[in-house]
Amino acid sequence: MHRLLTRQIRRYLQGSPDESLQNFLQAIDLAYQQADEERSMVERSLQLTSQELLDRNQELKDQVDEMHDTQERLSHSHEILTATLNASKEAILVINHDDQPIAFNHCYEELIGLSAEQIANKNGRELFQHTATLIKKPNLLYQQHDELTHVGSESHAEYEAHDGRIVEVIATHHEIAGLVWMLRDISQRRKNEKTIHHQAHHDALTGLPNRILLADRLDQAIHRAHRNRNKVAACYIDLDGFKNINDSLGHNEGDKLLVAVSSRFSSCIREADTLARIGGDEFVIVYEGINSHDEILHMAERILQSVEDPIEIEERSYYIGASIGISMYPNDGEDTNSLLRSADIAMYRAKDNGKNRFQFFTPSLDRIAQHRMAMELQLRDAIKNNELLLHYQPKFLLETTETSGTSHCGKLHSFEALIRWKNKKGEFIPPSAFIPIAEEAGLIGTISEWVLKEACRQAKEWQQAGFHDANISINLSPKEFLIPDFHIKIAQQIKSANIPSHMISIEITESLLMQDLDNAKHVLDYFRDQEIFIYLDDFGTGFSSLNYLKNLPVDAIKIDRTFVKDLGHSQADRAISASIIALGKNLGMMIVAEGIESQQQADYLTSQGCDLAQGFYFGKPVDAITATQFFR
Amino acid sequence: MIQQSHHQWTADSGWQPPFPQREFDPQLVFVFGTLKQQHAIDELNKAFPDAVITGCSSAGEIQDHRVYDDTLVVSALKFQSTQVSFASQQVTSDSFNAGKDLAAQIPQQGLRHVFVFSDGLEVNGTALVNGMKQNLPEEVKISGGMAADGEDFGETYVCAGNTVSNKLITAVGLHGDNIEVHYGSHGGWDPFGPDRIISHSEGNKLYKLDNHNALTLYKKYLGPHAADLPGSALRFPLFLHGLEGTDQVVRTVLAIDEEEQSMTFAGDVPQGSHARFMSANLNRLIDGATTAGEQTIQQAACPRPEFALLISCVGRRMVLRQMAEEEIEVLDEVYQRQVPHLGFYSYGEIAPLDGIGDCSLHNQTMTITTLCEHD
Repeated sequence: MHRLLTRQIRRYLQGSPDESLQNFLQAIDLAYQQADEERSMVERSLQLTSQELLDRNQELKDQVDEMHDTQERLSHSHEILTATLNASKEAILVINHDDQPIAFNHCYEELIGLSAEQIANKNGRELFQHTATLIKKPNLLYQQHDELTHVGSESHAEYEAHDGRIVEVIATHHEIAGLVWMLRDISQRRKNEKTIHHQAHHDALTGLPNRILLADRLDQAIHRAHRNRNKVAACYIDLDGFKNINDSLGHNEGDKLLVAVSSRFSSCIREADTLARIGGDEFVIVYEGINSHDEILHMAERILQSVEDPIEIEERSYYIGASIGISMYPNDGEDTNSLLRSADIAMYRAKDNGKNRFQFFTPSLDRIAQHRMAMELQLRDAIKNNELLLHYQPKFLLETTETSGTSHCGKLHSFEALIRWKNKKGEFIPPSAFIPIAEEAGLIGTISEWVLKEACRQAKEWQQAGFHDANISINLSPKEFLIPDFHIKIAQQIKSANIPSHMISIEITESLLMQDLDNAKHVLDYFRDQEIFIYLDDFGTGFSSLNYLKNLPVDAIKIDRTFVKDLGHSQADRAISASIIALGKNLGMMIVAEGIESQQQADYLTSQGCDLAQGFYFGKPVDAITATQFFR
Repeated sequence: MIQQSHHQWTADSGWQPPFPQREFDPQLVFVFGTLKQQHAIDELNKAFPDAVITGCSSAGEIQDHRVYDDTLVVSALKFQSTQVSFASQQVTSDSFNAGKDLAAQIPQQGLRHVFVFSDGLEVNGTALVNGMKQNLPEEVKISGGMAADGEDFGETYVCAGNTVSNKLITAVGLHGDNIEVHYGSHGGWDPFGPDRIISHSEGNKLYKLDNHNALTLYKKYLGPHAADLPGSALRFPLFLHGLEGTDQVVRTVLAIDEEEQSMTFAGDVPQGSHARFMSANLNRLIDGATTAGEQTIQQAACPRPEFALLISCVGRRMVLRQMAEEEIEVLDEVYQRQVPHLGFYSYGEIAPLDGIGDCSLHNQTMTITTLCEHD
């Protein structure tokens, strides 16, 4: 029973309630207990609730703290974002879905010329309108805007501003950010690209179009001519003697000369024509709208005239000529390549014909060119297939027979090695037919090397056979002189063949000396140091300058066969021969006469004091085996 | 005018007063209480062979201002012109479709009202009502309750004739122009403590409140009463609100599952809705019954009903205990006379919200259905 009820019964009913009250008291007891239970339940609930509320309060406080932290981090990252935006060289503008500018950087402010405040006070449409006023084709900008219809779409365009700037605009439609515009001033880039394009198509020195641009212009010219049914002329110009000037005076002077020449050429062309520099001293002029041969004839003459007057550079005057090859569309070629090739061929003919002139392309020139090309190919094969061989022509000491007073062939002095090309069919191709081609094709070095090697080998063979006095002379091409250190290589080759250097002699021509006297002297001094005997070949046919004869270490002079040929009936030739012999003797040189074909010639030369004789009369060029008989 | 006779079965005295003989031929007999007394049910069926006999097990029977346990209480009704139809349906796992099928059996001709009695543990009352509404005209209201098993939450039964079974639902249709039916339903519980969000629930199973284990929270509040779960959880019904498209409702616990840490409620506890614990104040509960009574007469053409069916919640009885009878007695003051009534304490009450709204399942209310038949 509830304690309160027990106490109440004790107090008010003297402890022993009537039996009839039992149910009543039980009900009261239950009510008391129920009330207690309810109360404790309520108290418990209150306590738990207040604890829960306290917990929640704490949670909220924590959340507020966290929010505060988040806010700080947010503002921090916002600052980083702003700094990043402003560090960008691109102008950036973000317009949100409510058409408000929510982000932009300094670069954007500068680019569209509005302050941050002005931008913030405008909506997207107004900013757009403002931007449209700055550019030349505002419609394109509206078009670009219209392309950004859905999230993820992107568009890209370039605009020219009224102030000349070129602005690239990239825009994307972002799900959260809205429209993100990126604008970049690409004026400088476009300018650079233009420069690069110009550089790629022009010659840096003269500023003239280069080969690439020439090809393009010529191509266009051909198309126009095809449409208009008229002609195009391509003039291939190669400067005469430029290389000498460049080599002797240095590239600086050479460059100045090229600039001056190109300016002279420029004066010969019309606005529609193209002058291009396509190589060191090679130019091409393309003339358009040509109707007749005469027109171009006149123009070619003007080109030659333009360089007639000397060119003054740093108080020095230079005379320079030009060899011009001319081809015409459509006759000489229907496309750029064939037209230029034809002009090139014609140019070579102009050079061959004596330079400083022009030459129209003709089909026969083409045939010659074709022949040359075929020849060059065969020659390359010949070198590979050992079709080249050396023949040897003896030189004898001239002696007078005491009794008859006539001359006779004395002791063998030496051999001149002469190159022969025996092709696959067994035919001999004369050196005059293939040496120029070898020179032009850059094969002369290879051939000369082979000649020297073969001569050395032959000398060694003879030496081993007991012919210790054998001597073989080889001819140097003027082109060989241009190969750096060629003379050192010759000496090394002789040495490596393990023969004494006096077994090999060298024959050089006057023309070789003319091209660079200083270098020639240097080379010849070297040969003398190596005890290599030097012949000056073809003497009398060129300048025959006494000056170089005096200064150069030459051991022997060879009188050219043209003077020997007519000794029998030409008083003049007899006089010249006598003079050369006297001159040579006085300078302490040996004299060789070549092309001796008769006793009469030999007698005269011997009488004048000529030392050595070479010619069919005494011995034709023969192969090495046959040549050994001359030793006996 | 409804003719009626009222009876009670007790283990000691059997049926009292004895059933009337041939002169009274009722159409509808309600029976509530300890349905396991099959011989008593058989006697009832024998006494009223032509009547629709239905009712369910309870957590206390109501008759004549008194609340009984372990008895059967009966009211036998005979209408002057009103027709009675009957349907029953075995419960499947799908309460919604069971409700639909049940309602489909009721003829709609002149249908005025539908009573429903359902297994109180195997059925989701919310789904049942929603299912029934699918197959009933909109103006036809539903009232009734979920069978109960005292405070044990073990097995509940529904009676259909002489069939007494669990997993059963019955419905009674009243047809005719002369019958006037009114409803009242009110709780009187007060929400207290913090507002919580149902963060995890499935149908009528609750797992988490504010991401915390709901069962743990209940145990904390129940203290020593936690040992009496699930019954003791009736002391803290949940007040649900704040989910768009749903009414404010009160939900009580039917069962707990320690293994999956869930609590099963008498109706849906939708995820995302707000929930507050409710606590009882004895006077407020009794006032609640008064309010329910007043709701029944507000719209009534006849101010004094002839018969009232009272269905109150087991949770109320648990709190009110010996004051439970007061929530019945106050109805006399509302009706200013003694209205014959019958009823039971249930695991869930079904009635229009506040007597006039949408029909739905309620908890912790006193729910009243009054009948009056015009001549």
